[in-house]
Amino acid sequence: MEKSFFRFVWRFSKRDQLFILALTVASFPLVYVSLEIPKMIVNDAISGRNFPREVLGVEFEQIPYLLLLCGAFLGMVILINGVKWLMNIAIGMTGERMLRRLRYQLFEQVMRYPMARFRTTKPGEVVQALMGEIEPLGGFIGEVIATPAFQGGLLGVYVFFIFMQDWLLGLAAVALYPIQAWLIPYMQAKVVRLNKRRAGNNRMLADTLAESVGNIAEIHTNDTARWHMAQVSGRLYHNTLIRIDIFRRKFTIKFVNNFLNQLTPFFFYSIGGYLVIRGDLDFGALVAVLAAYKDLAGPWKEVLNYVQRWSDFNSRYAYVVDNFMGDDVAAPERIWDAAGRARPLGGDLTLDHLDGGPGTGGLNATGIAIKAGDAVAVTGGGHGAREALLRMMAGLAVPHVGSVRLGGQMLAEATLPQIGRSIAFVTSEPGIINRTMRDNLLYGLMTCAPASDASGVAALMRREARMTGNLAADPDGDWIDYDAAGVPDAAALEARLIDLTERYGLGGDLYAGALEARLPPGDAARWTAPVMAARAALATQGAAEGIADLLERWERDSFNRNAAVLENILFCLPVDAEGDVPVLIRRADVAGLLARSGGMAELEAVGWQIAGEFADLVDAVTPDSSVLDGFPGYTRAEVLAAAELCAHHRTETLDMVPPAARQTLALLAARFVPNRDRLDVLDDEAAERILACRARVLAELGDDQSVVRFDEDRFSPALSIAENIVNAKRRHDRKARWRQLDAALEQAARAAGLRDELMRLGLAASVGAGGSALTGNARRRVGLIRAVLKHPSLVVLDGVAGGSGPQDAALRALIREDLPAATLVWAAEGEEAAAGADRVLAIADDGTVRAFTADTATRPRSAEPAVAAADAPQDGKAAE
Amino acid sequence: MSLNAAVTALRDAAPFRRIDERRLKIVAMMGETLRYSPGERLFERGDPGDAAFVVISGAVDVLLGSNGSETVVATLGTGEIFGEIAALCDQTRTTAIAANGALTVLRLDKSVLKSLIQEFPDLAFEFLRVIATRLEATNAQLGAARARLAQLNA
Repeated sequence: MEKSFFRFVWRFSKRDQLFILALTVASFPLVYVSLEIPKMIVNDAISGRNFPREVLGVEFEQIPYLLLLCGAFLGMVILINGVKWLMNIAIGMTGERMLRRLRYQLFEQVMRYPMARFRTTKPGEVVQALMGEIEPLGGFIGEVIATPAFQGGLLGVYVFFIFMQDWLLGLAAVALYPIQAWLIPYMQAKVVRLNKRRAGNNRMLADTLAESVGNIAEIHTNDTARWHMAQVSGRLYHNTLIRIDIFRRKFTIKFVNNFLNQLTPFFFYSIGGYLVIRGDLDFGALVAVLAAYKDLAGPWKEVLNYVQRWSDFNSRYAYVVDNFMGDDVAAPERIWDAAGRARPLGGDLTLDHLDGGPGTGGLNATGIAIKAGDAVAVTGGGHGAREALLRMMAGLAVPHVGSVRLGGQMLAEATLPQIGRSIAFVTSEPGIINRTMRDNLLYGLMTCAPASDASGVAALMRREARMTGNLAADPDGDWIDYDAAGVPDAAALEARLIDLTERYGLGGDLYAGALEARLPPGDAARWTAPVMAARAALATQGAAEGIADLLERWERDSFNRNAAVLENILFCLPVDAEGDVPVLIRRADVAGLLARSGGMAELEAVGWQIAGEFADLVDAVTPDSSVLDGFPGYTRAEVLAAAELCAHHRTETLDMVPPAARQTLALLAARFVPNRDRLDVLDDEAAERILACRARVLAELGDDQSVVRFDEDRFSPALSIAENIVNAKRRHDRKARWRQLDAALEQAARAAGLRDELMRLGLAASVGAGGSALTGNARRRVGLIRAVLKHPSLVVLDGVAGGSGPQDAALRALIREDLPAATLVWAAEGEEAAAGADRVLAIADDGTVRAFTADTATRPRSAEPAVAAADAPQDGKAAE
Repeated sequence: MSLNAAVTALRDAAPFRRIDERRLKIVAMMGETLRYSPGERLFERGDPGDAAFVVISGAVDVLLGSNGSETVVATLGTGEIFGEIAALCDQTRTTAIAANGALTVLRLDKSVLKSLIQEFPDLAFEFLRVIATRLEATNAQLGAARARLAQLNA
C-alpha cells in the first residue's frame, strides 16, 4: 500500500486528475467569453450605432443582432454549466473510485493479517476506520490537483494585475501572505493532531458499541445495560472535549485569517490614500487595485482552505493506513496463490522441535509423526495447550519455535488456498454467515471466483472493478469448487448435500422447518400436485392410525371451532396473503369483503364480548399476575389493553364505541379460536350468523381465483406446507396426540416424493444473523458437514464430536467413513473418547506432547484425563 | 360450552370447592380442555408429572402394575382431580391413567398451577387440605393393613 496520500492519489488517479485539470483549464476561455458577451450586448447591441452589422458574412439589424448576442449568451451559459457538470461528475467519480480502492486495499490487508494480530484487532475499530474515517477523503481526492491549479491560477492572475497597476500596492497586497502561509499551517497542525485523537476516540466508541451489541445476552443477564451506557457516554464526552478544543483552535485560525485579510485593505486605504493625496498615485489605479483585491480574497481563501484540508486528509490517510500496515501482514500470495488449490497438502503430519511459546500452556513436542489417514485422539492439555496444538495443526496458529508440516510442507509457510483445500478445522461454534443454510454448508467450497456473464450489467461491474483494482468476480455467482466436492455439477452436489444433512442429523431440523415454511405465490402451482398427493397419503394412512380424530375438517356449512373466527367468515385466504390475521384484516380486499358480508359487525360484537371477559379477568387478579400470560392467542399487553378498552366504554353500547376501538375489538375476535381460547363468547346463534356471512362472502367471490377456498384442491400460499397437506384444523382438545399427527405428516410428505423438495426448501432458508435461527447443535453439525464436503486431507475437531458417548463416536465413525483417506484429529474428552483412535497424542501437565499407538497399554498415567473444555458440547447435546 | 362445563366440574373438585365462581372461571381459563377416546392413555407410570387433571365429563381408570398385568385400582368421575401431587412436587407419575369411555378433562399445567397458587393463596391451603385428607386416609389404610398383618402373623 502507498503510505503517502499524494503518492496514492497520483499513482491510481493521475489520468482522472489530468482530465479534471484539462476541463478546468478549458473552462477559463469559456468564462472569459461569457463575461465578454454581456459587455458587447450593452455597449454594442443596445447603445451601439452603425447597423446593420456583419457577422460571419450575414448582415444583422439592431434587434436581430441583440437577439443573436443574447442567444450566444444563453448558449455559453449552457456550455459552461455543461462543462461544470462533466467536471463535477469526474471529480465525484474519481473520489468514489479512489475511496473504493482504498477500502478494498485496506480490507485485503485485514485478510492478510496473521491470526495473532486478531487478538488486538477489534472489529468495531476496523469498521470505523474503513467506513467513517476515510469517507471525507472521497470528496477531496477528485480536486487534489484541480483546486490548487484553478484557484492558484486565478490568484496569480489577480496578483499580476495588481503589480501591473502599482508595484508598491502589489507588495502591500501580498505582504501578509507569507505570514499567513506560515502561521495557518502551524496552527492547523494542532487541529490535525486533535482530529487524529478524535478519530482514535471514535474508533474506540465504535468498538464499545459493537461490543455492547455483541454481548447483549450478557448485558441482559447481568443487568449491565446502565454500565454499558455509561461507557458509551464516557466516550461521547471525550469526543465533546476534543471537539471543544478543535472548535477553539479552528475558529481562532478563522479569526486570525479574517483579521489578516482585512489588514491589507487597511494598508490600501491608508498608504494608497496617502499616495493619492500626495499625488504620487493615480486615483483610478487605487480603485482598480481595491476591486482586484476584492476578487483576490476568494481564491486566496480557497487556497488556504485547501491547504488546511490537505494537511488534515494527509494525516488522516496516514493514520488509517499506518494502522493496517505492519511487518506481520502476509505477502499477497498468501491469499492470491492461484495455483495453490491445485497442489493441496497431504501426507504425514509431523511436529518437530515445536515450542508453542507464551499462552500455549507450555506446549512442546518433537519427533511426532502421524501417518496419513490415521485417526488421532488428543487428550490432556486442558490449560490451553490442547487448543494451541490443534490450531497449529490446522495452520491457524504459528508455533513460536519449530514446525508443523503436512506432507513435508511447513504449514506456517503454506498459502491459504493450500490450507483451505487441504485442512478442515471444526470448533464447537463454527462461523455462520447470515445467508441460507445451503450457503453455510457449502462455505468450504466457495473458493472459485466465477467469471461473470457477458451481460451489460456484469460488464459494467467488471469495468468498475478494473478501474479500482478490485476483484472482478461476481459476488453472487457460482463460487463452488465442484472438483473439491468430488461432484460433476450443482445437481449432484445438491443430492450429496441432502444426503449429508440427513446422515449428520441435520435433516430432521431442515425437514420440519421446511414443512412449516410458506411458499411464494409464484411457486404454488408447482407444489399443488405433490401436496395433493401427500394430502391423499395422509388421508389413507391417517385413517389407519385414527388421525382423522385429531382434525376438524372444513365444511362449507358448519362452523370450525378450531379455526380463527376470521377464517370461519372468509372460508378462504387470498393467494398473496402475507402475514397473519392482523395483517390480513387490514387488507383492502379483505376489509371490503368483511364490510359487505356483515362479517365486520359480527367480529366487533364477538370482540366486545372478549374484551368484557378480559376485563373481568383483569379485575380478579393482580396487574402483574402471570395468569394474564396464560392465553396462547393473546399477549399480556393485549389482554390489558382490551380490558381497559372495555372499562373505558363500560356504560356504552357497542355502536357508541369509536371506530378505532371497534377495530381493536374486531382484531381480538378475528384471531379468536373457540376451542383454543375457550371463552364462552360465541354461542350457536352467533356461529349461525357467521355462517351466513360466510355464504355471502363465497357468493360474492364466485369462482374468483385470487383466493383459495378451504375445500379446494389447490395449494394455498397463505398457509404453510404442513397446513396445506393436513387441509384441516388441528383439534386443540386433542393436543395430547399432535405429535402423532406430525409424524404421520412427515411420512405422508415423504411418501408423496416431497422429501427432496422440502429439503431444498430447508436448505434455502436463512439461518439468521450469526446462525440465530439454528440451535447450537445444528450449528455444530453445519461445521461438520462443511468440513466433510470439501474432502480435506486433514480434519481437526476442537470441541465437537470429541465425547465418549455413542453419538459422538458415531459422528467420528461417520467422518471416517466419508473421508477414509483423511487424517482425523479430535480433542478427546477423556480417555474413553480416545477409543477407536490409531494414535493418541497425550499432553502432559507441563505441555509436553507424547504420541502412543492406541493399543499400547503402556500409556503413562501422567497423561491426565482430558478436562472437558467448558465450551465442549455435553454428551447427548452434541448428537441426538 | 367448554368453559362453563369446566367451571361446573371444578366446583366439585376437592381443592376448588371453596373457591368462588369468578376465580373458578379463571382456573378454567388457564387450563386446557382435552378430550380422549375410550381406552386412550393420559400418561404412563414413570412419566414426568407435568400437569394436574380434573375430569369434566366421563371417567378415568387409575392403573397399577406392569404392562399386561395392570389392575384398575380406582375409577374417578366428573369433578375429581388427579395428578396434582406429582405436578406440585415435581415427581414422576406413580400410576398410569386411561380414559374409561369418552372423556373430557381440564388439564392444568404445572406452571399454571403454580401461578394460580401464587395468585390465590387460599388455593394452596385447599391443596394442603386435600393432601392431608389423602394422607389421613392412607394412614388409616396402613393402620388397618398393619393390624391385618399382625393378625395373620399371630
